[in-house]
Amino acid sequence: MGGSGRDSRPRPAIRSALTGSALFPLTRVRAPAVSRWRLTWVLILGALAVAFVAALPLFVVAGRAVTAAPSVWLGLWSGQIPGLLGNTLALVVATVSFAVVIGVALAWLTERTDLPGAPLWRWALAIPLVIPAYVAALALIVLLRRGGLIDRFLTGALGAVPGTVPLPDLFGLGGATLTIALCVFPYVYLPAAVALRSQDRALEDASRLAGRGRVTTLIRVTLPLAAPAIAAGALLVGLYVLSDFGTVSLLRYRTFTTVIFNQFAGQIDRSAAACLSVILIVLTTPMLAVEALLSRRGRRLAAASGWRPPRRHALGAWRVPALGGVILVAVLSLGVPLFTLGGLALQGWLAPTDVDRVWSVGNDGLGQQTLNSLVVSALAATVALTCAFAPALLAARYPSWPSRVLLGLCLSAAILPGLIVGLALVLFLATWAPAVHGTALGLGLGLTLRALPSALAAAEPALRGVPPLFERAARSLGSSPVAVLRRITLPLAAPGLSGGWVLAFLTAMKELPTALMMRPPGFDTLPVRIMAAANESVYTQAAPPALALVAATALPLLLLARRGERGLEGAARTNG
Amino acid sequence: MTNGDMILKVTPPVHRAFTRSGRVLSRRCLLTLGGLALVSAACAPSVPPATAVPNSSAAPSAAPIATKPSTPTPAEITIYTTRAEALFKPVIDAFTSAHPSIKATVLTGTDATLGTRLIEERASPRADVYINADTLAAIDLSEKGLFAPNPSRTVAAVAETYREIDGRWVSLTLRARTIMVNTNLVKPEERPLSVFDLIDPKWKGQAGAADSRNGAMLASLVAIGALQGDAKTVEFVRGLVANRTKWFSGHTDVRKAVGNGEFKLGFVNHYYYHLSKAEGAPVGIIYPDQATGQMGLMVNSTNASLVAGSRSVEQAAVFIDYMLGSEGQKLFAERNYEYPIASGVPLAEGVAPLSQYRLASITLRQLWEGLAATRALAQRSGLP
Amino acid sequence: MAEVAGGRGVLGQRDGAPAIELRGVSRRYGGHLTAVQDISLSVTAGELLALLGPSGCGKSTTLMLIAGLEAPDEGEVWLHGRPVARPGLFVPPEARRVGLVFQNFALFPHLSVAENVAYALADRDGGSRARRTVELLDLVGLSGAGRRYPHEISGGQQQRVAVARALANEPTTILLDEPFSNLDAARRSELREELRALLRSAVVTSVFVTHDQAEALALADSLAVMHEGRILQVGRPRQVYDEPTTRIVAGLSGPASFLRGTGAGATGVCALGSIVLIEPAVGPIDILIRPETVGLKRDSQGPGVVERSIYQGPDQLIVIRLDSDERITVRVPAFATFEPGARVWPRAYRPLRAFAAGV
Repeated sequence: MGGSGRDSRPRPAIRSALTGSALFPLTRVRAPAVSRWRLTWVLILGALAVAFVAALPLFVVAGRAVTAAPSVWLGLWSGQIPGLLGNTLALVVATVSFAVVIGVALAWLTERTDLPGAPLWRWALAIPLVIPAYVAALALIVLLRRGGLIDRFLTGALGAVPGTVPLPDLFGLGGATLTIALCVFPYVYLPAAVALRSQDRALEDASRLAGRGRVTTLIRVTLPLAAPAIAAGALLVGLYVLSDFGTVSLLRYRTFTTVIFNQFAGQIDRSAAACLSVILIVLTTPMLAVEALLSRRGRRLAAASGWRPPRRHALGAWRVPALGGVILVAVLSLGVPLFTLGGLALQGWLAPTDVDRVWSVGNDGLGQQTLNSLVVSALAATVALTCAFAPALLAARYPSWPSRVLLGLCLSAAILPGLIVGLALVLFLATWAPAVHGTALGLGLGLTLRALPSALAAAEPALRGVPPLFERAARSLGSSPVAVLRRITLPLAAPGLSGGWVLAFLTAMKELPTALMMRPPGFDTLPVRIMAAANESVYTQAAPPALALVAATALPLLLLARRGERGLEGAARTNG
Repeated sequence: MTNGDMILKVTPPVHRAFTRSGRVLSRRCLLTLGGLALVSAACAPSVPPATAVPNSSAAPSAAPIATKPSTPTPAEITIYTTRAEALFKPVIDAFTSAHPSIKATVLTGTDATLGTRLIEERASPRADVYINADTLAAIDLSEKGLFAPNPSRTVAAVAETYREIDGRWVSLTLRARTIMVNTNLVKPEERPLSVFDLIDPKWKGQAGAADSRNGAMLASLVAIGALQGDAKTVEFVRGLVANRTKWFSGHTDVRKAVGNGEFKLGFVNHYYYHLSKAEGAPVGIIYPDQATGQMGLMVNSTNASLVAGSRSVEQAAVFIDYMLGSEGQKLFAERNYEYPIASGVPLAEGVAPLSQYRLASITLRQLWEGLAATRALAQRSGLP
Repeated sequence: MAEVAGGRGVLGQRDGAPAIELRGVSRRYGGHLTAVQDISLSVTAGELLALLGPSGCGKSTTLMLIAGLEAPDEGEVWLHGRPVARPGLFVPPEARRVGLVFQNFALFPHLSVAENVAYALADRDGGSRARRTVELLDLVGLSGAGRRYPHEISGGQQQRVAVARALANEPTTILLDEPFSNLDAARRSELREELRALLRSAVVTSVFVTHDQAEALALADSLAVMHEGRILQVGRPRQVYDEPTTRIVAGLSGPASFLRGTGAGATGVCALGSIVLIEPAVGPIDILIRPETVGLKRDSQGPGVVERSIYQGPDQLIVIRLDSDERITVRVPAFATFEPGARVWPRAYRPLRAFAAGV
């Protein structure tokens, strides 16, 4: 055996690695291997098919809006639309700001300081994801409305005239913002925490050595580097707020989705609803553009060699207030809803009124409904992740405007109000697939479309984060492109992909309007049960399904906790 | 052999696919298949079997024994209803015990969700019967051609003002538009006697009503417009807004707020008063506009219809007939304090008979005809 | 000029206090893992000191202690005659006027090259900041690259930006953490000279950390060898290379082979036969063989056999297996041919250094 390591690599392997790679952009193809072409075209066709199905509601809506009479458009612009637009934008801005502030502050506290009990807080601050915002709204209404628990307690305790004890106003911008923000801040907290955790210590050290103090370093180095991750989370929050229906209807805060819903009240006007939905899409486009811009910047921030974890700052005297703040958020976002629901459920069980007894009949099938929810959500999440693979891989490997357009089409089902999505799918299925229409599979399809963006949000960064280097190495060792996908790309992206499954599962479990619209008779999911009781103001009977929903979502989450956290971590890390 | 040679010696990729990572995929396949199996098991009963549709010209009220085979196979009907589940379930149970050969499945929702669903699934309807509590929505759907004519004699026996001529929709019960008061806060002599008292500044901030999402409220506005002129509607709406009326999407919240004392007056359907009273709230009721020259009492109805394209028309008609029969009517009257459309059915205790009051002279159909214009007008005047 | 006494070293002083001084500094991690143990060091103003040692010997930690990114558990750190770290006092890094070039350069990825350099100049007004940035970019030879981003320039260019940024605030001291480990080997010697010229022209005291012997020997004005958290020897490079005080220093400061032998005063006996020692020694000794101190002659009676030859271009290294089963490496000119298996007689050109066995 002679020679040093330098000339030991066989030359033919290098050449085949260069030309045989599945990863060169289509435009720079040289000598194509048949299998690589086949794979690329399969990818493109698959992504097109997924995007087409996902964008069906969008096509239906756009078609109706385009063919709507001008009088419909004119009629919409008079009267309340500007005010409601203002309401909606105010809610979006307020909630996103609030969620970003809470999320980033908490992420900084748990990842960059010596906050006591940080591992516990990391877990406790991620859990509110399993509580849908309308369930939290329910709990807060029961607590804070006139005649609610706190009012009665204070009236009794202070001996005041009923109705005069001052209570915070839940039914307004402040209440809606607080309620929603406390449920969605994990969307910002999780990626921000990962981003803060994965910064290189050297960057902050360099800033301090350049003469900048701690605060300046935070503002000019730490936060800008975490900005892409924060922006991705903020986008999710914004989309959630825009398409939220249950919460704002419970809290009587009038937003765009309310207006769209109103088009179906009294006299059903689908073209007006379609026009409004198109306006909603237009509203969300700038948000998507901003996020795309920031995430593109984030792709430059690759991890450097010799990475070391960042330092933790000592809180010193600030330890107690910081801990108090963290505990406050955890209590408000997690403790209050669970405690209230538990109390309501107990009350309905131990001291039922007539109304309770009548209503509880509907909750007899709670086990069956939980199973329904779990099965159809798990199915939807699995299908969503599988479908997300093609568009995500296409966007990760061939990042150009067509693949981003395809991604945008896939996201459209989450931007449109759930009612609209459900309606469009009902139309499509009834016309083209009557066998599936009205069955649980139809509902599964609706939930899949709504969960697809969550799966995509994690799958794309996960696949992008697999260095092409490894794929090239595998090709040079003789694997076909398909085998490379299966043996290298998938396993390496698996943590991020499993995080995507978890997110998709959560979204499907919590989904309300699509389930309302598409469920077959006799097949109820838990969110449907919750709203049925809440709409009749029978809160004690809304509590058991709400608790079942939280438990049914949290338990699989805890079981997958390790993988899920690493997955969410992986997804968030590669997202910037 | 060098290390490089050993690495390059590969087994065919296909074979590799079924080893380590292949197992991941096949596990996922198993999960999907298992899920599909579970789900299809769950949804099997919800697919209505195609039942043979007998000649629908036969009078459905006659006992169908003659036209049925000796061993009747259980037929299924799907009912879309906006009525509260808790209220509707006893009706279903009673029907099932009266007609054990018909299995009834219920899908609840709102007119918005169920009505639009009916429209979209026209090509392949899943529903057989549509029962709702908003006249305007029922007539709207009927006009859109979603309902089938109902030639049943029982339907024809209902007064013409309370049904479509060919039976495409028929009223099941009536409800009156009334004013509910909190008796602790409102003295008997202060009580309003007309709906227009609600815009009196002395009740500023003290009244609650449903907004434009509620069909009953819209119907009231149409009635005002039809009977007293559009200007009066505008005045009414503007007055309500100026009076800082509290707006709600449904009447349940109104009645509970009045019962709690959050405010003094509520513009609601009459049975909400009875529901609150049954809970022990200190409430009273006023049937408004009875004096000479005033509008009269406004009513609207709950309705039932046969869905066009239904596969179980005969059984669906049987169901509607049952609801119009004394047993069905009695359930609504007793449990929800409503006014049954059939004569001879006793009202619930404490419910004042409609015959005592002068009704506004406007038909249900006229209410629908004036809807679009009134709604636009009301929204322009500031109705939320 | 250098004095070596039991692990401490003090360089020849010029006027004024030393630029950097460490007095008995220790730093522990987690209570039991000692990174740096009782080191004392003194660096004259304007000097370029290299800290040489294997990974994990504590050299990077020493750098961090000087910069103020770590605080010593024991001992004191002085900069320009003023204490910056001692029990009861800790001056934070932003106040120390010390520049640091990180191993992976730590350029801010979200800022352009010019913005990176200007980052340290926040307390100046716009005009002077722009002028100084241009000046620095010129100094490092990157005048046109101001608008580019770190991911768009090569490793060598990134290093220069990092140096420019470290020099921006006119620090009196600049520290470099393995400055060449991230650059391609082909250009390494070129870059080395460029950096040295740069540092000279900037007139700063420099301390750099490396595990590459050749680099340390070529660049440094004085060299400190570290091992397991301690400084073993400090001195001029030639001195440390030629006169290592311990066997470990000999191994760390250059290529070295050792032969077991027995000292008998001015000479010693080992597998090569009798050799002359630099310093008299008695008893069991380890003899240091540097590749360039031994010559080879083909001799069928020789005590060693050629095992293999490593071609290096201008010369070659011959690995010889002696009959005593020890191996030595000998440097010979490229044109000499020694086939594997040939019997040779290695002969020392001059007296060899020996250490007491076990030192």
